[in-house]
Amino acid sequence: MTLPKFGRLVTSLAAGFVLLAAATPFATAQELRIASNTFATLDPLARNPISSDYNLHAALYSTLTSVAPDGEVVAGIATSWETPSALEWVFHLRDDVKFADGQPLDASVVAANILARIDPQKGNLISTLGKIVADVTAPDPLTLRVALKNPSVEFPRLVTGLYLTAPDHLDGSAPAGTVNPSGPYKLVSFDPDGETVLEYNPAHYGPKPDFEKVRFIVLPQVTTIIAGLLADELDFAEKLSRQDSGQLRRDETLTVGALSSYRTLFYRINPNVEPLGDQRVRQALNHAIDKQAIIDNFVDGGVVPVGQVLNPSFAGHNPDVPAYGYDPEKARALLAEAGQAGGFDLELEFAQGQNQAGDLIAQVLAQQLGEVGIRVSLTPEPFQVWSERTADPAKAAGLSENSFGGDGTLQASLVAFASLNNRNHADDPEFDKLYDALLAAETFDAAVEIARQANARAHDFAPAIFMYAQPRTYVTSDRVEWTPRKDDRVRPQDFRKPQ
Amino acid sequence: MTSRPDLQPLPRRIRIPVSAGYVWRRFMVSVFGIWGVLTVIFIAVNLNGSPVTAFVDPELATAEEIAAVTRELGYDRPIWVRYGIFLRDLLGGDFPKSYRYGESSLTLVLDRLPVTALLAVSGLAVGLIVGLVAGYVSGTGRGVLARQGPLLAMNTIRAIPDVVIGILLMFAFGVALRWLPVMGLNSWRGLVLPALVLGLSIAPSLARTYRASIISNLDSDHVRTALAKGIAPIRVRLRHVGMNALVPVVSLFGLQTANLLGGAILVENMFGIPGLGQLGASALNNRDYPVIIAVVFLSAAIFIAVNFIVDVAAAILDPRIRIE
Repeated sequence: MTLPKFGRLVTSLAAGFVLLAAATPFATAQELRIASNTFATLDPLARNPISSDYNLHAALYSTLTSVAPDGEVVAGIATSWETPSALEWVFHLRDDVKFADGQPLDASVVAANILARIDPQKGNLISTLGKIVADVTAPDPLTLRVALKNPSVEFPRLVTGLYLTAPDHLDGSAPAGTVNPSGPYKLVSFDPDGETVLEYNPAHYGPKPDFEKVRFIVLPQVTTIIAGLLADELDFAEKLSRQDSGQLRRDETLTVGALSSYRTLFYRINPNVEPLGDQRVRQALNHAIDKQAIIDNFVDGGVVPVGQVLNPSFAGHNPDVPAYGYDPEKARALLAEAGQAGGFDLELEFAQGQNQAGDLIAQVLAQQLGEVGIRVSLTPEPFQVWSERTADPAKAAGLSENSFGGDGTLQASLVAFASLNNRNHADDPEFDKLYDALLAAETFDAAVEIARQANARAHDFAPAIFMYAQPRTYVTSDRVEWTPRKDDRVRPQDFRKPQ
Repeated sequence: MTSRPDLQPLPRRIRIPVSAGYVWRRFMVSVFGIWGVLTVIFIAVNLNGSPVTAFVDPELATAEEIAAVTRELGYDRPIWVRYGIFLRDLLGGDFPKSYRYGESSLTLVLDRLPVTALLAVSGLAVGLIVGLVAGYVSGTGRGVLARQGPLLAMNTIRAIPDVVIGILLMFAFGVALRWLPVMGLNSWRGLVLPALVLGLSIAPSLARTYRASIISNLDSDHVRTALAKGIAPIRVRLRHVGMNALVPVVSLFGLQTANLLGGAILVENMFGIPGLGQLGASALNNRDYPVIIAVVFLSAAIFIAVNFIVDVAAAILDPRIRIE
C-alpha cells in the first residue's frame, strides 16, 4: 500500500468515526436513566421481593401513606388518619384515585389488598401485616378501618410499603405478568436482568413527575456504572464505595453525595461457636475494633460509630449508650478474664458486594482482632449462600456481616436481635421482653422509650460487633436533582429537573 | 480425440463426502454428551442446597412456612426422585419452570439466545478477520517487521486479560471520545465494543494456528509444483497455501465456540447487555435452578452441535480424517 493510499484510508476511517459520533443519540430531556440491581418481581404480593423491586412498585402503585425524603410519613391516597383506640386505625381516602384501566381505587380495594396479605391461603406467608392486622373493613368508599391484634403506633409508616393492586390481580383473574398501575408511572417493558422502561401514567391522581420516561438499567459491574456516568449515559447510581466514586468527584457534570441512612451495620456474633457464648468475649470483640479508623478510611456520609441497634437517625436511638471504645488492652483483659488469653480461631463470613467496601472492612476487622489474639479467617460468599447459612445457627460462622433498619420503623429494625429473627442466634430473653413491650406500646413516646431500653440492653449483651450507620452514597448527573433519602428507596417521581 | 468402442464411460457416482455411519456415530456421541451435561448440572445445583431461602424471608419465616415452600418446590423429596421427574418431564418436552419468572426456563433462555448469538457471531467475525489477516501476513510476509509485527501484536493482546481490554476500549471510545455507547444493546453501535472485546479474545489463537499452518504449507510439494508450473506467486499463496492452511483453523473454531460463549457471558456482564450471561449470572445469584440448568444445557448443546458440524466439515475438507 502506498503512503497516499494509506493516508486516504486513515482519513476515511476518521471520517467514519466522526459520523459515528455524530449519530450518537443523547437522552431526551424527558428521560431519566437509573442504574439498578436486578429485579425479582413486579408483583407486590410475591413472597420475597428484593429491595430493588420496591423502587418499581413505588413508581407503579399507590400506597395509603408515603414517606417524604426527610423521613416524615405523608399522605398517599389517604389524606388523613387517626387511631380512635389502641387497636384501631382509620384512614380517610381521596375520591379521585383510579387504576390505569379506569377501575376505582377506593377503601374496598385497599381492604382487599390488606386481606390478601394476611391470608395464608393466598400464598402470602411472610407478611408483617399478617402478624398485626386482625381485620379490615370499608364502611364507605372513602373510609378504611383496620383492627389490630395488638397496638401498632407505627402502623401509618408500616403501610408505606403496602403497594395497592387492582381487584382482578388480587383474585388472580388478571393476565399473568400484566400491571394495572395507579401510581405516577405505567410499565412499558420489564426485564429483571436488563432494562425496565416506565412512562408517565396520565391516570395518576398526583402531580405529574418531571420525567415522563424512566429507564432502570441493570448493571452488575461497578466499572460499567462509572463509565456510564462519565459518558453521560446514566443520571443516577448509588452504593458506590469511596474508592469507586473517587474519579466521579472530579467530573464537574456529576454530583457525588452521601448521607447517614437508617441502616446500621454490624457483625452478628454466633454464641453457638465457642467461646462466643461468653458475654465478656463478645464485649472484647467490640472493644477490639477501631470503628472510627474504618469510617475515616472507607466510609462517607459523616457517620459515627454506634454501640446499639438503632443509629441516631431513629427517635428510638439511645443517646446515653455510647459506642464501644477502641481499647485493645481492655479487650485482652476481658478475653483473659473469660479464660481466652491465648486467643482462638474465628470465621467471619460476608456477602460479596452487599456493603460498601465490605471486603476491605472485613480485612481490617481480621487484622484488628488479630492484634488481641483472635485469629480470623474470612469467607466471602454469594448473597444467597450467605443468606441461607446465616439463618442456620449450626452453620453460621462466628461472625457474619449484616445490616438492619432500611424502612425506618422501630418495630422492623429492633427485630434484628429478637429471638424470632432467624439470623439472630444470640437469644436474649430480656431483649425479647422489651421487643414484645414495644409491639404493645400504645403511644409513640412509649415506644421510643422502650426502644431506648432495648438498645441499652443490646449494647450490654453484645449480640454483635456494632459498627456505624451505613452511609447512603449516590451520584447524579447535571440533568437531574434528587433529594437523598435515609431509607433504601429510589423513586423516579422524586427526581426533578434542575431549575 | 476418438473414443474406443470397447471402453464405456463409467456411470457417474454421487460421492457422499462422509459416510452415514460416521455421521451417525458422531451424532450419538453428541446426544450422550448432552445427556451427560444435563445430569452433571442437575446434580451439581441440587447438591448446592435447597433454593427455598430465595423464596421466603429467611429472617422472619417460621419453620412451617419454610416447610410449606419446600413442599411446593418439591424439595421435600430425595434427589433421585427429583432427577426422575426432571428426566420424565424433559422426555415429555417439558422443561422445568423458572422459580423467579414462572415460565418455562428453556423459553426464557431461547428468548435471550439471539442477543448472545449476535454477540458471539459478531465477535467471531472480528476474531476471524483480525486473526486470519494477522496469521496470513505473519506467515507469508517478507522481512522481520511483517513476519514478527502481527505476531507480537497478537501476543500482546493475548497477554492482556479480556476484562482489561474491555475497560480500556470502554473508557477510550465511550468515555473519552464518546463515539460508542458503554452499555446496552439498543442499536448497532452498542455492538461494536462488545464484538471487539470478544473478537480480540479469540484472534490470537486463530492467528497463531493459521500462521503455523501456512508456514508448513509453504514448504509442501504441491506449492513447489504450482510455482514450477508458473502460477503467479500471489495466486499460489492465496489459493494453494491460504485455503489449505484453513483446515486446522476450522478444527480450532469448534473449540473456540466454548470460548466465544464464555466470552459473550463476560462481555454481557461488562456492557450491561441482557443475554444468556446476565440471565445465568442472575439465576445463580437467586438460586433459580431451572434457569441455570437451561443455560448450561443450551450452551452445551450449541458447543456439541458446533463441534459435530466441525468434525463433519473437517472430514469433508480433509479426506484423511474420514473413518471408513
